[in-house]
Amino acid sequence: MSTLSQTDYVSISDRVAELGCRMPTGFAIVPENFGTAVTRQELVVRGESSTIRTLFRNNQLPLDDFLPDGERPGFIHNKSHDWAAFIFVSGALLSSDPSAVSIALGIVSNYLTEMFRGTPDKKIKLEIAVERRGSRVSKKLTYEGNAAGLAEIADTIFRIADE
Amino acid sequence: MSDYSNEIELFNDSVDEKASLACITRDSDLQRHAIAELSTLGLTVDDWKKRAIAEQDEHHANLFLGCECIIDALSAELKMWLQLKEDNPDAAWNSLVSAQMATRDAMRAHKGFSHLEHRAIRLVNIERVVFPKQVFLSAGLIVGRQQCSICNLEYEDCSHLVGKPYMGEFCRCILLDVKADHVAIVDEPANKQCRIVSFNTEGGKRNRMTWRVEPNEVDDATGSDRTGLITHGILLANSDMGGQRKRG
Repeated sequence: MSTLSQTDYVSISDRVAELGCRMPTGFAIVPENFGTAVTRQELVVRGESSTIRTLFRNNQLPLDDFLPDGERPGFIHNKSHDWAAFIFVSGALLSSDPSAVSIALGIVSNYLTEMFRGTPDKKIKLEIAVERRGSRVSKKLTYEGNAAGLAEIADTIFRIADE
Repeated sequence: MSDYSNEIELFNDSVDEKASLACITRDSDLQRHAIAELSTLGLTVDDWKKRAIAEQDEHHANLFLGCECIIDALSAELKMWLQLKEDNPDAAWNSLVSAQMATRDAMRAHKGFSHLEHRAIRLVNIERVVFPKQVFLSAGLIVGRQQCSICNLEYEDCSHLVGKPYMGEFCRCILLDVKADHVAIVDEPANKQCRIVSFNTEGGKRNRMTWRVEPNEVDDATGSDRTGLITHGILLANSDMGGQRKRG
């Protein structure tokens, strides 16, 4: 069984300004402590996010960074749940290239389906911070379920962006 | 490129014969003999894989990687049944988890092994029916650098993907500059070998697998009279997703 929940999230643009980060215009990996870190040197991303970066890069999807060039966050590896990641989808990307979201989810879903063959019950968790179109307000969507179901949440992302 | 039809037929015949011994009622000596033969077969398969790699034949290199995983899975399952018969359920649990991981590795190594789904599910069912429910542990680690096992570059800067096979070898993410952050009890650990093994009780520590009360060597040696819930567990194991198998 899969679940999809929606919660308010911190203002991405406010946190970018507070931490001296860059505002991504495409997809970006969201640090786990993005909402609470005092300085950007404290930021840590999940280890799995590096695989997302590679998947997106290998498939020519637009991927930006919150951190300035030359800076790299720490990585957190939780030996549980087997796979979890947190990505950001900018309002600009949703407007300029809406198909990119479906393509990205399909690519991640295919990779994870292949990785978790033989473990049909294996849950994955993907959190997505969505910037609403035309505003700087963000919502967080959390998907927990099997890898195949991930490809079907694109419509929810668009709905949140338009709310 | 070489034609490996004869090698593949030899492998299939040998593995099918050993697989028929993978249940608890089979004779222990036959099972031990099968494990020894699988070990020899593993060396042979490694030679085939090296030949495929030398010929830059990635299709067969990955196929033989999958064969190695099947050998590992079958050996581990045979060991599990032997260890259960020898009244060693903790070791049997580790063998079961190894068999599960190696079966999934085989399915990832090459599309030709996707038919192993039923074996993977069978091992999950064995876990549920034969063993008691376990309490799993998850270690949280802060990592400074991640290195790709295929090209040795920073993992997120290269094009390789964890868990995928490349010329007979799974890509793994090697963690460097590691600091422990936390430990958590979880329902779904990355590795089921990471679990609570025993907990303190009156007169010693109770083994969660056997439910026997065993001597508590640490407290006995130190004369400690610690109170409260004290557990003994495994936090990290030398196998993780990304494939247990490396290039030989």
